[in-house]
Amino acid sequence: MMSSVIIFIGMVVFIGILIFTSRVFYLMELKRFTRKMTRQLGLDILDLSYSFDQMVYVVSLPSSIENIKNANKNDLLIDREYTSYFFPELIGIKIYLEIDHSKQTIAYLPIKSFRLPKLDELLEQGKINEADYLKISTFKLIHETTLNDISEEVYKQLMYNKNIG
Amino acid sequence: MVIDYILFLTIACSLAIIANFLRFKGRDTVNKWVLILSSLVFIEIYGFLSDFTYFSLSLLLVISISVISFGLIGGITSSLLAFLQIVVLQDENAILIVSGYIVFVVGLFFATRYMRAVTSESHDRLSILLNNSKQLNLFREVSLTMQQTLNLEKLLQTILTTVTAGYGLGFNRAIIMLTDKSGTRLKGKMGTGPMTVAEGLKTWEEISRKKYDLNDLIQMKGKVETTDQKLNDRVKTFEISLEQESFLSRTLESGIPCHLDGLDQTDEILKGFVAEFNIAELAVFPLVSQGNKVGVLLVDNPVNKKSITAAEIDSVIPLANQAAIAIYQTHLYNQIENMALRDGLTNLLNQRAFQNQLEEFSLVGDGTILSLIMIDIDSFKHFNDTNGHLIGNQVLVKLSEVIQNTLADGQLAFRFGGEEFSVLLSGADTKRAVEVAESIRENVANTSFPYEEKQPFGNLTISVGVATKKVTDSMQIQELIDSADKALYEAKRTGKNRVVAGKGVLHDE
Repeated sequence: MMSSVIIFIGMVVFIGILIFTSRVFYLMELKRFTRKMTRQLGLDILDLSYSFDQMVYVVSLPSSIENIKNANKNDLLIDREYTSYFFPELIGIKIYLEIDHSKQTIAYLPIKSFRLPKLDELLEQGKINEADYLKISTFKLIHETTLNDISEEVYKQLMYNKNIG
Repeated sequence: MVIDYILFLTIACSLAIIANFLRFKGRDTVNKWVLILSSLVFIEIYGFLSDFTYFSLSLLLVISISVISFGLIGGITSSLLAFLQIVVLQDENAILIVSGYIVFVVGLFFATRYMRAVTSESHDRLSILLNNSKQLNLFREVSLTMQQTLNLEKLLQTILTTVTAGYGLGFNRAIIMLTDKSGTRLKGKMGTGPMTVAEGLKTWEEISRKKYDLNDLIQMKGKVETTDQKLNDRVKTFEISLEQESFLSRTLESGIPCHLDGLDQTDEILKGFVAEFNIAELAVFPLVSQGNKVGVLLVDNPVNKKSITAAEIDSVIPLANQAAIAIYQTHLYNQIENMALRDGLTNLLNQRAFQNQLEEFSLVGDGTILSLIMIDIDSFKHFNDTNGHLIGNQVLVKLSEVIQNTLADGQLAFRFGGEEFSVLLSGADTKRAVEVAESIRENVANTSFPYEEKQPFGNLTISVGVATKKVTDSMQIQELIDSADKALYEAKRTGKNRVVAGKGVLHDE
């Protein structure tokens, strides 16, 4: 017969794995789904154009804040924000500066505002639905190439007219 | 025993991984069911391995996941199912245990509800922060652009781009109509946006591919051929009387934005708009500055067909107010500029405008051929002495009209002072300038002026001097004026009512 400690440990392991691997499997499923859909629709995820127009800067630019004015590109980091641990869904990405362990949020891009013209066209034609749109756009947003572009864009904005601020 | 432990933990890991692997493949409900079923399988395997020791306790795992997935109903349903299993296992404390389950379910339900409320509140706060930040950034950028121009076209382009761009307020289409001088009519001035969904998507693809930002879009407007042209062609044909009751007159009268999400069959003007622009839903904003009704701003979403929300309407109001002030100031500036550069009697451009124009030519200094026609009414002192200055003024007004009507677009007429007038012809050589001068002289001679029969030759005539020069600096400008003056003097000296062209270096260079 098993001890109550082992039962407890077993439950913790079960729940722990459910929680801590949920985002990994969520992202894996996004990747699989996007690949399947883009293949069916004859698209290349890297070719899907997008705009930075819905990126919201929560600091005034050009800024007078020294940390922002003197930021290096490597100080800019991106965090993905999810709804919950059990049922994770991407809410958006947060771009922040981390200098000397202090974090300063610079910009935020909510996933619901991340629209892609090609997907808008497919949605209009009825070839995809809103749920498909959300999955593909989420995968596009968290794609390494997109995150690099976003990082570049935010840095460019931070440095633009920085001597005015 | 150790093998049982290892087997138990291995099953726990495997089941959790399989559940996570499967549950994201379906919809939300599938996801939740996979989670509940996997926990149930886990508990049953555990029961089998442990001979159902502490089984009623372990069922709390399934109940917890049911509450997280389906709330109170999920929790109570799973508690009742757990009760049945306990009854099957002949646990004599079944009633007590199920009571405990129900208390646990209610407690967990309120705890998760509280957690969700906290999370939801946090998301709402984030959403409000982002919305406000975006608006603040937008107004900072746009107010700067608005402050930098007193050109109405540029100003309207800025307003419309701000309303329609994704960097801005993100509406698909916007139209501005401005009131006329009398304030009784609205005229379509400018629009931005597509006429069809396909046009809208094409523009959207272009903007995102080239990564244009708000400033790029504002700068591009008017310079680049866009799909806005089709919209503008229609917008500019719209002219609405504000004396007729309509959604536009009501909006301007009340000063409150109007949201139309259904077609009012009794409003003929609205029906006209809907038919012309294929509108399904529309918001109209009054542009009012210091009580002056400047115009209206209309927005809609024909491409993505998104409903216009109250929050979106609220976000446009500050921009509409700012736009109204800027448009009103531009009108005032244009009026003052007009007063400063036009002659009050004849409405022709005045001496100051003449000097400004010549200065511009000399600043460009690219060797443009410039012809100057100087006009003077023959024996005008005699006319004034005979008929009085009031009649003299009437003659000046009529003569101005004759000169203006004789000229083509781009040919500028000025009242040089007193009874002297001038005409600037850019790019015209002496031959062409003399032709124009002769046409003016003939038209004046053939026009009937009041009391002209009292003039020495029985009618009112003009003498005209013409000079031409390639303009490269201000010195040549002065030479041009002197030469035209001399030619005019020569026309007077040699009998009046004639055109004389300047000679020498000023002739046909």
